[in-house]
Amino acid sequence: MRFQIEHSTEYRYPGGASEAYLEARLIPPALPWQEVIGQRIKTSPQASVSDYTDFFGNAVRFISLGSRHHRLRVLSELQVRTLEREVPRLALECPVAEARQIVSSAGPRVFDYLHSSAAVPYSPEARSWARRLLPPAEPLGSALASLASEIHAAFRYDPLATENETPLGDVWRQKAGVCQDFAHIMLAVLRAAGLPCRYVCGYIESEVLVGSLATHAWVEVLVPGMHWVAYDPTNNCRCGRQHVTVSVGRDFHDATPLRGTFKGSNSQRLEVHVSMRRLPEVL
Amino acid sequence: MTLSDRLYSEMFASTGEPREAYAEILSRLGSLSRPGRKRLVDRIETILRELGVTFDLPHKDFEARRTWSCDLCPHVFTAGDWDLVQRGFEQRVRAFDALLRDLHGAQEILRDGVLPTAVVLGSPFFQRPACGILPPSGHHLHFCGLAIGRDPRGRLAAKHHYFSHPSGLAYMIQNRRALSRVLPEDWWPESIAPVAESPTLVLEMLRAQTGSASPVIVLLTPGAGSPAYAEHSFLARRMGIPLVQGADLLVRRDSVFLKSIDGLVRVDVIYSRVADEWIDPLSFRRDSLLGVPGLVQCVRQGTVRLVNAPGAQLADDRALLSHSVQIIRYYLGELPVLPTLETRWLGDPDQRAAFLDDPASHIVRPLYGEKILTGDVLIERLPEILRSPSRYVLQESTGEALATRFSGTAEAPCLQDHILFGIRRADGSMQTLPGALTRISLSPGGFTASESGGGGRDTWVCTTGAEERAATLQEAGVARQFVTSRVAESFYWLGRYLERARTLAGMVGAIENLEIEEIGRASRDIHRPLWNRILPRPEGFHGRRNLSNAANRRALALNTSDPCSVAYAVLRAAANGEMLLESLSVEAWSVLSNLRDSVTSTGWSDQGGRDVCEAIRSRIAEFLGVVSTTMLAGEGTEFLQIGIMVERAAVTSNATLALAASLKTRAAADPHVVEARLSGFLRLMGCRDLYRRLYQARIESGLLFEMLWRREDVPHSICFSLSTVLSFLERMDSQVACRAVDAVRFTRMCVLETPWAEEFVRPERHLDTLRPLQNRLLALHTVLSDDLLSHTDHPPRGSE
Repeated sequence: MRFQIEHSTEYRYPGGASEAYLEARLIPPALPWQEVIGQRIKTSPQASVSDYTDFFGNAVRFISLGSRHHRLRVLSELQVRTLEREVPRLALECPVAEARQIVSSAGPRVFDYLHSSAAVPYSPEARSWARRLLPPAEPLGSALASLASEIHAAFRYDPLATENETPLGDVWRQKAGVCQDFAHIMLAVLRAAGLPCRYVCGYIESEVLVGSLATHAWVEVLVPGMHWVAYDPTNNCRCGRQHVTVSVGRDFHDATPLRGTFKGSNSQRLEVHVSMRRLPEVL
Repeated sequence: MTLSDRLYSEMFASTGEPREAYAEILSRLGSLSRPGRKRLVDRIETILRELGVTFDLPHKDFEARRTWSCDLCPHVFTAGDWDLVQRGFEQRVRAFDALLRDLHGAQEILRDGVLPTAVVLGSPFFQRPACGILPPSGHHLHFCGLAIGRDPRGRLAAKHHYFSHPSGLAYMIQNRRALSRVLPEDWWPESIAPVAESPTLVLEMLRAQTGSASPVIVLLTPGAGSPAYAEHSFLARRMGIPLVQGADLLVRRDSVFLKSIDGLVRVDVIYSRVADEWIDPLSFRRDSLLGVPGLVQCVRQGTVRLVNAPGAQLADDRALLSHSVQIIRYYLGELPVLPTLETRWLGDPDQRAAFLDDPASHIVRPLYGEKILTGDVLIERLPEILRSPSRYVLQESTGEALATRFSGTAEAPCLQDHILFGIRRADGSMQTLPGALTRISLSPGGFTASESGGGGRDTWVCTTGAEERAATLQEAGVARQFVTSRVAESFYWLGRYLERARTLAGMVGAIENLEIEEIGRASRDIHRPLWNRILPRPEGFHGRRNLSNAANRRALALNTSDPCSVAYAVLRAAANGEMLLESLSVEAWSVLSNLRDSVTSTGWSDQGGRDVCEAIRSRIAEFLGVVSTTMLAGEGTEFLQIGIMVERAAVTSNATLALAASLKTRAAADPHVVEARLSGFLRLMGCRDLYRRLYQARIESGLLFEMLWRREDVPHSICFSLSTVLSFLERMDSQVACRAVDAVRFTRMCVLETPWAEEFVRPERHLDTLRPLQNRLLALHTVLSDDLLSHTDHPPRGSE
């Protein structure tokens, strides 16, 4: 499938800002199932930019603006092609306990994805869900599918229920949130079960699937053979051609599309728009 | 059990005889009479106080700067001990530098299973944004410290690594300075190694980080709130480099710039005394106000060198200290020269279990910092420790030796340890500075750490001559001096608030005189409407100030919660002065802090408003006098004068506008009222006598306005203020001052070309003439501020 994606982020400061510094994680990686055909990132007013690759492998664009301004817009225009993702069937047939043993032997490479992080702390709920849904003898694939579907069933999608910084404990209590919260919940359970997993930020094509008009978030689990398999608990499915991967990390903080520091302004309003259109395949 | 039962005694052998290294100095100290020794002890104290050497205790009142203490008896390293610690230190830095390079890259030591992954990747000091950054000159560590003490077997041992942010070099130098002025010359062995050049060696190392012949180097400090601020300030002065805070720096086009009154100056090397997690809110802690947003990206791009490299703090994690042997073996293939104080990580379940069997018998320390938890304190903090055990270690002892201190009224036992310092040479090898900060406890049960109230003593290392003496210093070019914009801005506002306080105090005093002494009820009604126009009113306050009673007048002088009061202006001035502690002379700060204390204290409760105002005015005059006699021109004090003049011009223009408005009212149709009002006005401004001397005539409005706007010989006049500002700006001779110079010149020309005498025949024209002039005047503040202080709109110098 070929997609045209436009992702616009606009900051407005009532009193104006004198300096702005942003880190944008907007550049999708090339993957076996994902090809970036073209991308343009524009900032207005024009700002100086430079790129680097962060600890988690994300391509980061550093944007800095030193003159007085009242609004700052970052627009990413992206054309990307997705293919069917290969499913490592053998690995998913492996029992949970064996899978855990195999992948955790990767030691330092998986440490970050096995331990609690700022946004995904240890919790008793996660431990009890892990015991219930990820029993040692269960084949990994069916256990993961039922975990995603349990989360989908038990948690209500409600954009008003949470904000970016709502602690996960509140999400467990109120059983409601957005894709970011669904992903964090699934990470918490997987990590409680000792299965390495990471947060993914990206885009999803949707008429019925929840998550378009904004960025989307889901989860990748490391399975034997060192493959990452992606699940979308918000939509109760394994990720496929409608998902475009942009950035990864331990949790939302590592993968957040834009984070910024502003000077000379006490407050700023943020507006995000994402549009994703399917293009006809060209042969 | 007493101290001496279980600790290694540094000064005396078990026989009670002094150890060899100490024999001579102890016998000399013993030869002094008690009063003779007391005199020396007192002199050290006086010298340290005069040098302004302080170490502030955390959480203590900021005003209460605690003077550093240095013992009369130095610590003497034997040649053998020194050789051991020096080789041990250099070996450790080599190993841990290699460790940092590996951990921020391929992590081979983890993949080889030599270190537990959780110790490293679970460490709060493992900074993921620091991975992949090329450290300056290929090394993470360039200037390091190491705490050594005695282990329970009496061996010299490493207690803690201060490899990333060593603190205490200034105190090592000050101890030597103080002691060398007190001990007789013939007490000093000839071979004793000097330490005074140490900051120059640090500077040399910083200069070597770039290819540039005259690199711009700054010392980044968290600010005056840091306990070691006195050290930061000392080192910056000794190295001749600017002491800057995060807000003094900014990032443009992936380079770091210093905001100075000469414009933006590109910075090549930053010697950082700010911990990793605070240096850049974009990469590390989002809530950091101490850092520079974008700094890490500049480091990554190689446009600026940060010393030590970001991420280096990981080497100081006590959980890693416990693996010193493995680390030294893994990277160097050597056995450790210097043993490590036995340290065990509480993140390890086995260690935790052993600890929980009998917690009170252990010594617990956090992964970093000076806290020591033992006994009751430990039991009290147990729940906190068990909530995050991986943030603590056990140590077999606190690692001190027993010694004797001579500083109190009598000799007393004390604990003692040392911090060594090492600097990387240009050839990449490490050089241990031939001295140390020897720390001693000052009270029974106290600790050696300065943060815990410890003091110090001088440390003697004797070189054999074949060894390296103080480095031959390269001929360094004269360092460029910068006045940072933050300093200039604080001086500017200090000047503005002082002038505001001074003029307002003058007005309140004059009103008091008019009210009490001289005028009757009828003439008061002539003055009061004018007073109401002139005196500042708080925002949103539309009523009139009732100045007919003394309490209200006193409030206008001393009510600190009224933003229009004299006292409030004094407090704002003092707050700006406080941000200038490293720039103001000690004498100037003492006058200013006295002034601040006097407006907040109740010392003036029985005095009238006029006396209070007089006292405030005379202290402000005293402050300005002290500044002019104790500070160098070019240290930013010109901005104090510029602030004073800008404020004075603003006050005069506001007051004359208020006068002009009051002359348009119906009451002003009466020539007697006008004359009385003009006279009262001149008294308020403190220049009635001046007017008489100048014009020797009855007061008329045309001449009055001419005097206060145009006459350059009248210190209250606007032209006087503008000319003074102009002369300062012109002397600065800087590119960035150009626009300000033009703006001031033009404003002055407009004032001079106004035909004052003719314009002011008709009162209704006054305001039309004054308003545009005033707007031009007020706009000068924006130009000064944008171009010289905040650097918002102009591209950096050196960019295309």
